Amino acid sequence: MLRFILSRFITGAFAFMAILWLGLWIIRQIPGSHAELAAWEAEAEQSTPAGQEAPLPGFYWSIGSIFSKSRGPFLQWNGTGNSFHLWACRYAKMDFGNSLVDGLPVKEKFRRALPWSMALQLPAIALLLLLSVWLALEAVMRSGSWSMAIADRLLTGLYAVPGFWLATVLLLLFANAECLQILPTGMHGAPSPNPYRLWWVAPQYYLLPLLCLVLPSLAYLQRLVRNGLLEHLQKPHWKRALSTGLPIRTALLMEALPAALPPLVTWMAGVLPALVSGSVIIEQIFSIPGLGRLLYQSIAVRDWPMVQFLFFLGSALTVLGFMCSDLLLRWLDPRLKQTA
Amino acid sequence: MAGSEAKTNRVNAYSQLRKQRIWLFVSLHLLLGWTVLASWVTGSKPVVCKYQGEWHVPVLDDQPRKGSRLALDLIERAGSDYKLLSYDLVLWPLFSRDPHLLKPEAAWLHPLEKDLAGNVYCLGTYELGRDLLAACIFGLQRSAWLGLLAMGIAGVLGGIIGSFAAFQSQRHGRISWVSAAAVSLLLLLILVEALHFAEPGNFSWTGLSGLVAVVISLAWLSVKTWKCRPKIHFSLDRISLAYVEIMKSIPGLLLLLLLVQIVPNAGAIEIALMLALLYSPVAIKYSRSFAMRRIPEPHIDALLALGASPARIYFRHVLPRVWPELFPVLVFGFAQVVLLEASLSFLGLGLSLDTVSLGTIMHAARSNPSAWWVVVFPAILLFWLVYSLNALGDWLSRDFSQDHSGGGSAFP
Repeated sequence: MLRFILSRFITGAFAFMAILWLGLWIIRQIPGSHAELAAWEAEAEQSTPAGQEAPLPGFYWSIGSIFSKSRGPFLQWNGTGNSFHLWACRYAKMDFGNSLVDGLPVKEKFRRALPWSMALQLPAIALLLLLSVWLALEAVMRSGSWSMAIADRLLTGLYAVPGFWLATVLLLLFANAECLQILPTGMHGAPSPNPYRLWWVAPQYYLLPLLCLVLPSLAYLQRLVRNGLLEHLQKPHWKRALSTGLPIRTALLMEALPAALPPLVTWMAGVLPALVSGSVIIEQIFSIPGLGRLLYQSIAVRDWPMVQFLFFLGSALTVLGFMCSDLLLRWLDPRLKQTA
Repeated sequence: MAGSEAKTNRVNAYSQLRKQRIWLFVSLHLLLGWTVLASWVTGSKPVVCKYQGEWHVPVLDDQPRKGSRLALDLIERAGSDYKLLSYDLVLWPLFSRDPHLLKPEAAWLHPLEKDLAGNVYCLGTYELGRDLLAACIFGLQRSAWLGLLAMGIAGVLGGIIGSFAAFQSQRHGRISWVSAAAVSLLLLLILVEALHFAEPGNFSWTGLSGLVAVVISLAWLSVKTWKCRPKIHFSLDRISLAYVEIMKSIPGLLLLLLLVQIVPNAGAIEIALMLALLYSPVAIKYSRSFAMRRIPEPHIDALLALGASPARIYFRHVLPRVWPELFPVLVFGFAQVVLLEASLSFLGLGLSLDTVSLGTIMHAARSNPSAWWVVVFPAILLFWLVYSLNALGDWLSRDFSQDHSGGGSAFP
């Protein structure tokens, strides 16, 4: 087990390095970002005034361009004087830099945005899991009944509805002076600046965003659990469970559900990074000042230190999520140990 | 043999779809017809016209043929408006409305409201007086084409790479490192030199004959070393798995938001390429796992024993069996790509805002929240397209117990 954890950790670290390099390379390819970043880096290092020096090379080695007229050496070693190295050193010292827009530390902006994303995403994920498992159990127990047929159609329909459209239509219906004005359109006039307290004071602010996050993904998850359950209902261990005389609901919960969990665990790996990029669109529409909106706005105003930090965070959480789900899967499904 | 079997399966699937899901059959044909024929139904260009003895099909081209009478007169006499010319023979589209024509005085009209000149707009107008009906017709066409292009690229490339990686890793088609290096060097050389020769003034017979000599020797080297069994061999499988692993570990939407920034004013083709890049790991992963299940089958061993070449086994017996299984995955991916493009354009980050697509129409509604018609009608079309595709994917994968929706929607 320890060996597995170690090897998984090492491959995870390599994947993380590759992703970071790729992400920073992509950010450098955006027109204009190179000069802005170089000026900012020179300022951060306080070595030379901005623009006096040729921009630093991007990575430990650079590959000569085949297409350029001036053909230098094909592979050139840059040593530690490259921006990736400097960037990694800064991040290792937990110095994430300052925002280019308002000069606030990136850490501070992150600390302000995080609670909003947590307050929105954690209940959404919990609700999603509970609803999907419940609906899947109902679908298995009452398969063939007309109520389940209707629910199935509804869920399939919801799967084809994009979250942003649902958000716009719900706003048109329930937060519109010409229709019904019973819910707020966004977080503008929220009675409490603390996102967690807002759940107690005025939960109606969270109602629409929560619905828009939960409903479009519900069908996918319910399918996942239901198919897993149906697959296990044809196996001998299910017949054994029934023959013990357990009530069918208990048997489903105790016997079939744990066996149907692995796909759900794989899906849960995506939950951690969803904190960063999962609700960009919904947070933007409802103007919730969380991480998704911060990401969208930093990209829109070209605030590269902020974007770099959020990319770092997003990919770190993804790699971490996959590592956790792999470990959890091995614990849930002992057969994996033998095959690996 | 396998090819003809796959063909019969395809024909069976088509007639079975008509028998089992007639509504889906009709709806898919309607969508296909719409996508192909949209610019023949509405627009301000004639479908076919005869102008001063020359035939033209203006809907197919951005501009009329260079040097033709039509091209000259269109610019000189008509100011690029086809309506002002007189033709010998002309067939106009059914509706003459074009979403690219702006009438700022008739902006944000309600459905069925008349503008000052007395024109009725069935679905109303939106920003800058664009006609919503025409915009919806063009928007659905663009969304469907874009998704088809993205999924086509990702599906064909990912399908071939994934299944070939599986085939190669299972002992049947080992490639030596020498051969793989020679093939990639060959392709790189041809690409670079083609770009070099394409520039005017760069052509020389000595250069060309030298290139031909190098190409022939590299090709000889790659063929000679293809089947040799050195200790270390080139494993496409490991490389493609690493690619899938890395791409899977990047939050997709984050990557897309950054990629979109690289190309300012990205057109439909650039967006489609980015979406294809985003979906290629899904196609690779699934085609690899489907091929992995097919390759250990006994008939492949029998073919090997009969002396069939690896290329023959791969192209005639592995690939044709991977496609039918991969197809539902690609259909689900198509639906997801359409949704993703619409979301991006809705945020104002995808297609540029004067390009008409379902997402950009709904983006316009954000500046005028009370214009319900601008949200509702494009959304119904989007829902129709995505629902039909999902239903098709469901129906196609009904025989397989696995889940094929390719990782689901961007969470949550």
